[in-house]
Amino acid sequence: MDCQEIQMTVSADLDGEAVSPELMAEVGAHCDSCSECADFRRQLQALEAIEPVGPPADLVTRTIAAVAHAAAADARAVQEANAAANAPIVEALPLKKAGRRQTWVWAGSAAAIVAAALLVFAVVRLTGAPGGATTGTRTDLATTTGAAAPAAAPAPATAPSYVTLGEFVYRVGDTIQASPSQLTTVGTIVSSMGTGDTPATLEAYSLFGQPDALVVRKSDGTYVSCQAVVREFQGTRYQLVSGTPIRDFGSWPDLPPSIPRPGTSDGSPGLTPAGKDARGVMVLQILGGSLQTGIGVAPGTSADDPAAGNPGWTWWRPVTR
Amino acid sequence: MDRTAQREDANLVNAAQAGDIRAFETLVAEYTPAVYGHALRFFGDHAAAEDVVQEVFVKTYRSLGSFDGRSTFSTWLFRVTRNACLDLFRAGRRQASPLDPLDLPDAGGGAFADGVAMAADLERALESVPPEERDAFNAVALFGLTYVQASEALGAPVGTIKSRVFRARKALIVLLGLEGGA
Repeated sequence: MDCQEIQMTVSADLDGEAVSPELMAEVGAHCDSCSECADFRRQLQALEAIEPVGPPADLVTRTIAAVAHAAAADARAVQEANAAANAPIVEALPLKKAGRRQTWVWAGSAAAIVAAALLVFAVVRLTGAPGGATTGTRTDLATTTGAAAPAAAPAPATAPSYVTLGEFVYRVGDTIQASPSQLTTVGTIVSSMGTGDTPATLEAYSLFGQPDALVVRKSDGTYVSCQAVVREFQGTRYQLVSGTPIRDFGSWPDLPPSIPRPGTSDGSPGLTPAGKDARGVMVLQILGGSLQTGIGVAPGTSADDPAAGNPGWTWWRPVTR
Repeated sequence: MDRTAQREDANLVNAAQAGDIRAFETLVAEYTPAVYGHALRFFGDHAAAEDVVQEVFVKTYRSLGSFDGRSTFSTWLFRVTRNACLDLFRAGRRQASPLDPLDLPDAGGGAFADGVAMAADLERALESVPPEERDAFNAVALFGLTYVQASEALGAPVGTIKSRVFRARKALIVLLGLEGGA
């Protein structure tokens, strides 16, 4: 090998490319007798020791917030498209592809969203099931989820002011006067608290041990009360959960990733009816599972239901506190 | 990038595709320095680089469903990043800023005061490396791609990638004055 080949081999070795021990031995022997190549090896080490300029410390946080904003905007666009088309509710959900993995289908443009909504609307009409399930097969574009739900109240334009502690959802209430002696730290949340700023990590407290109340200290030092979003079924209380942390007001909770995505309005294939609650809302559970895993509720519940307005399925975990 | 890291990436991508937002956040945290570094070298401007990072990850998030795993995530992300820079440049929203090597600070080999200054000089020197060599160097040094993966991402033969990375390094050694006192 000539010097150029030796130096290219040194460079490739630095990059983790497979270089045989025999070749490296040849490189070593060459460098022992060639000052130019030996120098190159040292210069390369000096070059590699220089760390590239890194990003600002908060760029990751800002980027995650930008992604969350984009996802929320996509969700709003889907809602608006649904409303405009007066079609059954269409939402972006993880769908099972023909292949081995689950995938998201994100409607990338208003036109695509409207087209998807119209497509589902057309499918519903063609199958002659205006109030029921379409088929057990999910389209690759969207899924109908609200067709068989109880008479629905008009969906609000945006979600209530929600925050999440872990996966549990709380509704943000009023500003309160609180002193540290009244509060017990229970964790942190990440939320913009409706300011439109980058979501910040905020301390969360329980107030006098009240089970369903949460107190959050905002970035400006004031405190707000938050109330757990709960429902009852067969004597057990269940709290709303979200698979995706809610960082901005206006975002709806979604299903935890471990919950099977309903393909039809009756919850199949992964969910099965468990009975109706006191409001007459059909409650579902995982097929072959137990209520301890939680319960699901289809979209389209009435205005007095704690899931009202959510365009997607909601999942609720039992709480014993 | 070693196989373990690639397997971890694949697991994170699978989880993100299944709806696990935290998995996607982990990928954002892992790859922000690489995306930022490539964009900074392309535009020579921190604000532009930050814009590119946000745009790339929003695009990636929205396209995650179409990622089929035939290439590694890092290969795919490098391609998305490179295209995002080119798109911004073509749209006239940002200007690439090649640098005259004479603008570099005294490259006398002993001029680096600390790591920050060295890093800044490296970035400035890279701006004067030919784009095709810089792309190959970034793919390998920032994104951790193998030569084969870089070849796939850049549409050039493996041997060409190897040569480009080598030439970039040779140029940097000269531009940074490392050939004298290293």
